[in-house]
Amino acid sequence: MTEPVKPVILVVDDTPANLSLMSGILQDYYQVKAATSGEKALKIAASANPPDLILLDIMMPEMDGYQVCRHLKSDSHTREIPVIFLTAMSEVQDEALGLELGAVDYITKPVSPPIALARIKTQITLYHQRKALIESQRKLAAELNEAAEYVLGVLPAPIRQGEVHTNWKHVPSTSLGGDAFGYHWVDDDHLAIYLLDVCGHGVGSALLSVSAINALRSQSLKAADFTSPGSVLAALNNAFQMEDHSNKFFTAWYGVYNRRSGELRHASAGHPPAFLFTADANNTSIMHQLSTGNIAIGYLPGMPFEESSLIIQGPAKLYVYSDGVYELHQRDGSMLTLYEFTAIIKRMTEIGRSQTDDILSAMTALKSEPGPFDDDFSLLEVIFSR
Amino acid sequence: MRKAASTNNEKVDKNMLEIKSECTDNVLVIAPAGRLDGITSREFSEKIIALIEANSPRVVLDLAGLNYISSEGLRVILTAAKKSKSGGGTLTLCAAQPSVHEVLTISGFAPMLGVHATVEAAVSTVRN
Repeated sequence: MTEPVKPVILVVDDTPANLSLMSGILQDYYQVKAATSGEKALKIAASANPPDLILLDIMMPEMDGYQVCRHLKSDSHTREIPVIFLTAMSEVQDEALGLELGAVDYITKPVSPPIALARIKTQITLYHQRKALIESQRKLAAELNEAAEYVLGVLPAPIRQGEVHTNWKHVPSTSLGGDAFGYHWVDDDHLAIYLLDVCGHGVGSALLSVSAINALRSQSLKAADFTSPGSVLAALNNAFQMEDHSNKFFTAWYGVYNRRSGELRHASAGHPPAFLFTADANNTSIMHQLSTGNIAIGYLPGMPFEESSLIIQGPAKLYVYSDGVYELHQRDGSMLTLYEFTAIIKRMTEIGRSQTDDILSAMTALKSEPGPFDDDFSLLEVIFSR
Repeated sequence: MRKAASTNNEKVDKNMLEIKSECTDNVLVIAPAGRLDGITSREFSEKIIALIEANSPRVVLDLAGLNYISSEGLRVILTAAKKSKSGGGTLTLCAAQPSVHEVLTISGFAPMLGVHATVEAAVSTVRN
């Protein structure tokens, strides 16, 4: 990295003769600022143009070098500036204290110009590299956040009016996840509901999940009938072969609800079953597991995708989710299985009300450690009132 | 999608996958034991393709010793199935542990390739 201007070094010494000596050594390579007391040094260090390095004499009246160093290291504005102590030969044994206080090095007096210049150059290079690294990390994080906001923006608003209500929870395991989902009315009668889960997470997975979800949302897939789940998955499979998408593939669940007939057609590709809850004549809830056993999208071109259907006759509730909802480490070290997750959902589900918050809390409580889930958590809930 | 399955209580060495194979009467039985994940699947992929080329496209994967399979592992099985098919044979699976069986079922591999209870049942399927 090129430095357009000379780095700034602040020399702190109460003896003017020492200041001019150091200035003489440094001025060909650096812009030198001088302070004759600790107080003045702290002021310059905290100014809008802080130095790139501080050379600090130990023996000074009022505030000695150690005290100045303590102040510098306790202030977040000056903490990162490297400090090198200037030490008389007789004080070398005290240098352990200086290094403990956060100094990066020390130079003994009388100063040997080539040694002093070499040590200073090393520390300034390290400091600039560290600053550049922090800055590039900050920029990357900002870009990732922007991308994460875009992904969130692709997810639909909950539907809170009419005969179908929707809610969802989405918790990516890293700032960018590989899950995406959505729903939209294909025409006046047919509501499409879909969720997909790209292998892995991070930027690559998020890019694929967003482009696949956009293809579904905008209904721009060749030869697909968007009211036929099998046809949609086959078209997705032909459009997103893993060889053309950096060896990434995804699992998917796609359903179409016909609000006139109550028919729910569905197809899945390598995806855990969606759960549909209906009520029988005694108002006991019945769980249906909706899965059609196809392999994931992107594995094999030209595959047919089976679909299935059932009729919803009364109030019902549907859950579509990614495997990150249940693939978690429990306190005893074991992984929760799909079977156990199925039992939990079956036990807690009440058809008439939204329970996405309850399910997220229940799964969070099972985790062995706080913090994000091991994998992206996506849970989509659809409540049908008929 | 992160992983596919793991054993519940065993501590398994993360990098371990042992591969045994045997070819009898033109049927190749391959038995991977341990974990088939992102780390071990590359080696497994190379071995299984070489074994099919050198022996037979009629392949049985005996999964009795496999206690974990990730999506990368599934991909290797698929590659091997393609290889076997292009050689005029078939590839089928057998003896999967419950956690691995669950993954094979969810992923659609079980209905596509078949998971037999025993090696003998699998061998007789690929022979016919």
